[in-house]
Amino acid sequence: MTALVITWLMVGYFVALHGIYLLLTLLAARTLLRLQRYRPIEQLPLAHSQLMPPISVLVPAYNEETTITATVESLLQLGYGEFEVIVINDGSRDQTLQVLIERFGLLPYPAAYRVQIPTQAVRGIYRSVRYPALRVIDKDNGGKADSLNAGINASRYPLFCGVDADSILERDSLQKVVQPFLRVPEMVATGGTIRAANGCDVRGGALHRVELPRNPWALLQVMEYLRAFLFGRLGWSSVNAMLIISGAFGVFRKQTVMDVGGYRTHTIGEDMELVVRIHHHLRAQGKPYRIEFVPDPVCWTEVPEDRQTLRNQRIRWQRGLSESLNAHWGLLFSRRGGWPGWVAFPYMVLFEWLGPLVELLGYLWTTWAWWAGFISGQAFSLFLLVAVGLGIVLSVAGVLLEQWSFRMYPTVRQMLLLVLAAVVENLGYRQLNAWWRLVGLYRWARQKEGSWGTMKRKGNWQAPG
Amino acid sequence: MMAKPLCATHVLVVEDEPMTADLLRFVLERQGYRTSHVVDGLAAKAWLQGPERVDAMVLDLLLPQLGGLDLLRWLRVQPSRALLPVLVLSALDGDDVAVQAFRAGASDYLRKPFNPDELLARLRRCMESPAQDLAPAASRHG
Amino acid sequence: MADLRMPDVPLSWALALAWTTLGLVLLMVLALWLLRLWRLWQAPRQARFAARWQPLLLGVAAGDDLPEALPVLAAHERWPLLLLWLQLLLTVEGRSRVRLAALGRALGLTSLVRKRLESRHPPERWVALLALGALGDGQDVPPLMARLATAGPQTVLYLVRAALMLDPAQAPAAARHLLARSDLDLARLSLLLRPCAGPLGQALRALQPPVNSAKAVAEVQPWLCWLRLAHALRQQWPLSVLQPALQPGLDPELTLAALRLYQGEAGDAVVSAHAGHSDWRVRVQVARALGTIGSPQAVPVLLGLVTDTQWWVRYRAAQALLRLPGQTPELVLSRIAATGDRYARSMAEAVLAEQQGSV
Repeated sequence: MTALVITWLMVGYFVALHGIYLLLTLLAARTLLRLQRYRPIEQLPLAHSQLMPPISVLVPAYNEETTITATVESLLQLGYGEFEVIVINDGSRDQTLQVLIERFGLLPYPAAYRVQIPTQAVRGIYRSVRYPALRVIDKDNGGKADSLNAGINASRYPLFCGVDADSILERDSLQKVVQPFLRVPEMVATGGTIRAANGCDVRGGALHRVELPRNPWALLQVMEYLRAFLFGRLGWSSVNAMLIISGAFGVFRKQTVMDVGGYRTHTIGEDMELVVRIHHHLRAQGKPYRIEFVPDPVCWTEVPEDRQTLRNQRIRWQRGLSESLNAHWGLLFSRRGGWPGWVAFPYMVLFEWLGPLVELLGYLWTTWAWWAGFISGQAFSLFLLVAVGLGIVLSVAGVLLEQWSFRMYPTVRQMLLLVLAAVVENLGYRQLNAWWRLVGLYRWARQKEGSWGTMKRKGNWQAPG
Repeated sequence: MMAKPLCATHVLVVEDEPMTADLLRFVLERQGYRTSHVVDGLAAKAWLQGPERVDAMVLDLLLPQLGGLDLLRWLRVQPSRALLPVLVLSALDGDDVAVQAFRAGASDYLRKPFNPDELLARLRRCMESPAQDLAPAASRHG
Repeated sequence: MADLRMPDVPLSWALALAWTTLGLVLLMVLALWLLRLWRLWQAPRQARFAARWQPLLLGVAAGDDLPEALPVLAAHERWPLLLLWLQLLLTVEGRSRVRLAALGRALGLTSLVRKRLESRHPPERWVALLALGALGDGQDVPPLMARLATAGPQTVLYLVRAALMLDPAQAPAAARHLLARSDLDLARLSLLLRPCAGPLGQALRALQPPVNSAKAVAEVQPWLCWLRLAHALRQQWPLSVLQPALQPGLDPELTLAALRLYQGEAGDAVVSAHAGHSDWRVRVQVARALGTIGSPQAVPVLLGLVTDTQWWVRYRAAQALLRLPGQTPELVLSRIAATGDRYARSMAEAVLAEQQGSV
C-alpha cells in the first residue's frame, strides 16, 4: 500500500532528524564534560594579561537612540586588556548620533584608512575625547552587512567582534569567546551562545539576574534556543562543521573575512552567509582552519514576544538560510568538503531548508490518510510518536543538559516550566515554526521583497532595497 | 586637631573577587577595623553617596558595572569624600596602571598578589598622612 | 500483488515506542529531580566545609602560626581543599605565601598534588603544577624539566613556572626550551611566568642570538623569538643589547619587537632614526620609546610624529610630549600650535582631557 510506504518514509525522515539531533546532543554533552574540567582553573585568580590579542568590537546601529548609550557603556566596561569599540551609525533617522556625541564627548577627526571593502559613503568619523577606545562612524544607510564592512575597514586590530546594538554581554564575554583563538592557532572564527534576556533583570546594559520570561512565546524560544542553538551548534562545532555564527555575538579573524570579501550586502542572513563562505573558501583551498562555538552564556538579547514579530523573524531566517545555501552549492559534496560539505551542508539542505515542507506534508498527509482510512491507527500513532514524542525526549534532554552544565535556571519552578515548555514546544510550536519557515521558503522562491517587520519595542533594520 | 573618633575605623572594601574580598575583610577586621563590602562600581558609588561615614577605602580596579578608575575620578570631585584615603589594589599587569591610578587620585597603589602586612602598613600610612586634595589637576583649577 | 503488500505496523511496535518515549521523558525528569536534590544536599555541605577551613586558611595567611591540632581532612575533601587553598595562595605573596605552603604540607596536600600530576585531564595537571610550585621540593624538579620537551603549549608554561619556583637555577635550561618553541601563547606566558620573570629574563638575556660582522642581526627569526619572549616577560634591556636589532633597514617586525622592549634612558638618536619608518606601528613605538627616554632632543622628532597621518602615531606622540620632563601642558600646546597642524592640536587637547578623565 503506497499510503503505508509514504508514511514509513515520513517516519524515516523524522527518525533521521531526531537521530542526528541525538548525535549532536551527545557530542555536545561530551564537549561540555571536557569543558567542565577547566572550571577550577578558570576560577583561580590569575590576573588579567594585557597581552591578549586586541579586538575591535563592531556595533552596527540603526535608530537605537534609547539603548545605544547603555550598550556602549557596558561594552567599554568589558574586562579585557586591549580593545576598541567602533559604533557604526547606519544613517539613523533618529537622534542616535547626537546621543552618542553628547554622552561620550565625541569630536570629529580625520581618518586615513584604506577602504578594503566597498561600502556606502562614510559621512564622518568621531573619536571620544574621554574614552580613547571608542570611535563612531557615521555613514549613509546601507544595512547591517554594509555597516559591518565599514567597521572592518576602520578597525585596527587583527580580530573583530560583531555585536548587535541590543546585545548584552557579560564582563568576561570577550575573554571567553577569544579563548579558542589562544588555544588553536588556526582558529578563524568563534561564536558565542545567545540566550534570551526576556524576563531577566537588566540594569544599565548589564545582566543582573537571570530569570525565565513570563511571556509564553519567549519561554518557548528559551527552550528552542537551548536545544537548537546551544547543543545543536556545540555538536556541530565539535566536528568543525558549524555553519552559522549569530550576528549578535561572534569573533572573526579580520584577514580571513577580508580574504573572502567581507559581509555580503543585499543578503538577509549575512551572518550565516559569511560563515558558509568562509568554510567554502578555506575548504576549497585546503587550508587548515577551525570555527568553534563557545557554550558559556556570553550574550543575552531580547527575543520576540508576540506572534507577528516572531513570525517575521522566522520568515527572515528561512530566507537568509535559502540565500546562504543557494550561494554556495559548490560546498555540497565537494571534493575537499570534509564535515561541512558532506554532513552539515546536506543536513541543512534536507532538514532545515526543505525540512518544513517535508514536515508539514508529513503531518497533513498522515492525518488525512488515517482519517480517510488508508493507514491504520498503529501507523498513525507510530508516526506521531516519532515526530512529536522523540522531539519531546530531545527537548527534555536539552533541559537536563542545561541544568547539569550551566544551571542558569536552578529553581524548581523554573525547571518545571522548562520541562513544560519542552513538551509544548513539540506540540504546536515547532509545527507553527515549520509553517513560517515554509512561508519564508516560498517567499524566497518567489523573490518577494517582504519587509523585515518591526520589533514592537524599538527601532529596526530596513531591508536593503 | 580632630578628636579621634570613638568607634572603630571604618574601611570600605570594593572588590568583586570573593576570596580576595574575604581575605581583605579578615585582615582588616583582625586589625580592629570595621569593614563594609561592595562588589561592583555602581554599588560603591551608591554607597559613597549615602550618609555613612568611612575612613578609608580599598579599591580594586577591575570591577563590574563601573571601573575602579572611573569611580576614583568621580570620588575626587565629590565634596564630602574628596579627601578619602584610597588604596588601589590591582591585578592588571600593564605598565601604566600605577601612573593612571595615581593620576586618578589614588593615595597608594598595590599590585595583586599582595602581602597582607604590606597592605595594612600602607593603609595605615594613607590614613595617617595629612589629608591632601588628590583631585586631578584640571578640576582643582576649576 | 499480494506479495508486495507491506505488512501494517504491528501494534506492539507502536506500544513499545510509546512506552519508551514516556519512559525516557520520565527518566529524565527524575534525573532532573535527582540533580536538584544532589545540589541541595551538596550546598550546605560545601558551606560547612568552607566554614571549617576558610577561617583557618585566612588566619594563616594573615599571620597566625599553624595550629597544633588541624581539623580532620576526609579523603574526598582533599581536592576541594586544595582548590580553596590554591585560590588563597595565588592571592597573596611574601610571608603569607610561605605560611600557607607550610600549612599545605602539614595537611598532606603534597602527596595529593604529586599524584594528580599524572592525571588524564590537562586542567587537573595544571592545578597540580600550580600547587607544586609552593608545596614541592628539590626532588620534584628533575621530572618537571624532563617533561618540558613533550609538553603541550599550555602545559609547558605550568611546568616552567613550577620548576622555577622550586629551583630558580633551572632558568637557563627553561629559557632555552622556551626559545626553541614556536607554539607559545605569549599572553598566557606573560601571566603565568610573572613570578619567575626575574631569573628567566636574566637567563634569556644570556642567550642572545648571533650577530654578524656588521654588528647587525644575523638571522631574523631567532632574534624575533628572543625579543618577543623578552617582551612577554616584561624585561627592560639596555640599548647595547637591542642595538643589533635597531639597525636601519631590517625587517619591520624585528624593529618593532626591539622598540617595544625599549624603556631606557639613552639612545634617542638610535630610536629617532626610525621615526620616518614606512610601517606605522614602528613609528608608534618610536613615539612611545622617546616618551620613556625623556630626552629634550626628542622634542623635534616628536613634533614631527604628532603631525603624522596615522592616528595611533599622533596619539602616542602627544602622550610622549606631555610626559617629557619639563614640558608643561601649556608649553606643549603652544609648540604644537606652532606647527600649524590642527589635527595635532586637537589630538594634544584630547590626550590632555583623557589624562584628566571624567565620569
